[in-house]
Amino acid sequence: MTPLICLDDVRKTYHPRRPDAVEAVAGISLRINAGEAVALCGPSGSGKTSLLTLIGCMARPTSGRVTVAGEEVSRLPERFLTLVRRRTFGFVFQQYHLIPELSVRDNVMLPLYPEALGAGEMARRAAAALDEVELAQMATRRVAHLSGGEQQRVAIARAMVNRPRVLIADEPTAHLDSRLSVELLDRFAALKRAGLTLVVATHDPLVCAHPLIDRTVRLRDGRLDGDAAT
Amino acid sequence: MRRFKILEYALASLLRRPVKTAAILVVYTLMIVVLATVLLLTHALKTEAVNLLADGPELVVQRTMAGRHELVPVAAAQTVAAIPGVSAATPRVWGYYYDSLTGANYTLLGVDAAEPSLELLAGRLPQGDGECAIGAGVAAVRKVAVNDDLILIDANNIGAIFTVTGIFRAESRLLTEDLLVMPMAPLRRFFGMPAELATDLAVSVRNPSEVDTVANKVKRALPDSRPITRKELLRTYHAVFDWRGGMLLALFASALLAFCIMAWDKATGLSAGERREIGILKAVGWDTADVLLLKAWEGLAVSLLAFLLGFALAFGLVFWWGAPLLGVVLRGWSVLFPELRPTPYVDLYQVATLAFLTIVPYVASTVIPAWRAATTDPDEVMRQ
Repeated sequence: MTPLICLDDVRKTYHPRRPDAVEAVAGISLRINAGEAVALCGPSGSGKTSLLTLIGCMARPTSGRVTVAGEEVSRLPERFLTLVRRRTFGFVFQQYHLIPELSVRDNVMLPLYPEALGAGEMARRAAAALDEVELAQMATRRVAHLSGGEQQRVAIARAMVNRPRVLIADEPTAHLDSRLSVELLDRFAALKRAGLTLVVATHDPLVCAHPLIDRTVRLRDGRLDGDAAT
Repeated sequence: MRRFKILEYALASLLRRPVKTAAILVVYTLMIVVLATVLLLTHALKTEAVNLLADGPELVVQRTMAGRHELVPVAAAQTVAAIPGVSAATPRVWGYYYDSLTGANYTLLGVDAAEPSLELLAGRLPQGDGECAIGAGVAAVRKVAVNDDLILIDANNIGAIFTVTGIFRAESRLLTEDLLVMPMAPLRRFFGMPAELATDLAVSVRNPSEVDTVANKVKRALPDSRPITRKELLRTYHAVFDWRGGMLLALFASALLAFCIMAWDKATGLSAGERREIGILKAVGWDTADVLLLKAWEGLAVSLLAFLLGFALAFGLVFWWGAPLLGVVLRGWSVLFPELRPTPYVDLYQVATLAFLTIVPYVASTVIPAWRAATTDPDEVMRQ
C-alpha cells in the first residue's frame, strides 16, 4: 500500500546560520497511510507542531523529502505548494485562528475564495460543512460571540469545507473540558469513518488513548521516540 | 471569477473597519480636492484667457518711458496704419478704477462703436455723456440694474453720475465681469486724459502669420513703443496662472507628502490584526498572489473612491462656487475682484496625471508591506 504522506529524514531548523538556530525536527522519517489516524505525542517543545507544519505543507523542510500522494512537495514553488495544501489538507489550529469580526459562515468560506466558485456554490458548501458540525443555525452569528467549543467546531467546518483528504489538528483538546473533548474526538471518529486521514498533535492522554487513534508517534527533542499501533 | 470573489472579500474587509476606512477616505478626499481645485482653476483661467483674447486685436502697441507704460499719442496711429500689412490702427482709451465702496477694481473702457465681442444681456450700449454699460459682476457688487445711476469718483475727486444703459456679457466672464464701458470723450474727461493721447493702439493685421513681422516694423518706426502680440499676451497669462498654480501646488506638496507618509505608515505598520488575518488566509490556502490582490483591491477601492469624490467636489468648488479662497489667490485680487465662475472645462490629461500621482502611490504603499507579510511561511500563524 502506497502511503499518502512520506517523510524521509526530514529536518527543520529555525534561524539557520544564526547563533540562536533551533533544530525543531531532527531527521524524522514517517509514513502515514490514507484513512489512518495518527497521534503525534510528546511534551512541549518536542517538535509536534513543527512536524505538523511540514506534513501539512505549511513550511518547507531545511533538508529531507516530503511526499504527498506520490508527489514530492519539498521543492515545489510556493503557488503549487499552496494548491497542494488547499486541496489536500484541512487545518484545525490550537488557537482556532478564526477572524472574530466575520460571521460563522464567512469564516467557513475563507478557503473557498481562491477556488473561483460561484457565490451559490460557496454558500452551499459552507452550509454543508456547518451542518456536519451542527452549527447551521449559527451561520450568521459573529464568531466573537461563540463559546470556545463552538469556535472549535467552526474551525473544523472551515477545515472540512474544501473536502480535504487529510485533517490536521494541533492540540485540539487544549482548550476544552473533558466532556467537550470526548465530543470532539467522536466527531473526529465520524470523519475518519468517512475516509478522512487524521494527524493530531497532542499531549493529552485522552486523545492518545482514544479508540479512533490507530498509531501513536512519540517525539522527544525533535526526534522519534517511538511509533506504535494502538 | 476568483478576482471578483477576492474583490468582494476586500470590500467586506473595508466595511469591517469603518472608522479606519472613513478616516483615510476623508484625508485622502481632502487632499484630492485641494490638488484638483488648483489644477482645474489654473486650467479654467487659461481657457478663459484664450477666449478673452480670441476677440482682441492681433497686436497692441503701448508706449514706454523709463521702462514704464506711458500714454501713446493718437497721431502714432497714423504711423502704424501706414506700415504695410496693417489694416487698421485704432487708439484705445481704457484704465482701471478702484471702487472704495466695494473694494473692487473695475476696468473702464471707451468705445465709439459697438464692440462685436460684447453681447448685451439687457438694455443698450451707452451713446452719450453720463451713460455707461456695465458687466454683470459690477452690477452685482454695486446692486444696480438698467436705468439705475452709478456714481464714480473722477480724476478731480468729484463724483460723476452715470446712468446704466445696459448690462452685457461675452464669451468669457473674465472679460466682462469687472467691465464698465462708456463713450471715449466722457471717459477721457473722467480719467483727465488729454484728447491727443490714448492708452494704447489696437492694431489689426491682414495676414495673421505676419503679426511678428509687423510688430518688428512698429518697433522700428516708433522706438519708444512696445508692441505686444496676442500670442505673447496669451503666453504671459499662461505663465502667470502656471506660476500661481505652481506656487500653490508647491505649498500643497507638503500636504501630499504628509499624506504619503501617513499612507506608508498605515501600510507598513500593518496592525497585529491585519498581519494575523494575512497569516490565517495563507494558512487556509490563499497564496501570496491572492493576498496581494486582496490588498490591491482594498487600496484601489479606497483611492478610487477618494479620487472620484475629491475630483467631483473640486469641480463643484471651481465651477459652481467660484473656488472660494483658492480662486482669489490664483486669479489675483487686484483686477478681477468681482465674483468669477469660469466656464466648466476638464482636461483629461490632467485628470489622468492627478489620478496616476495619487492612486498609484497609495495602492503601492498598501500592497508592498502586505507583500512582506504574505511571503512569510504560513506556519508562522501556527506559532501565534
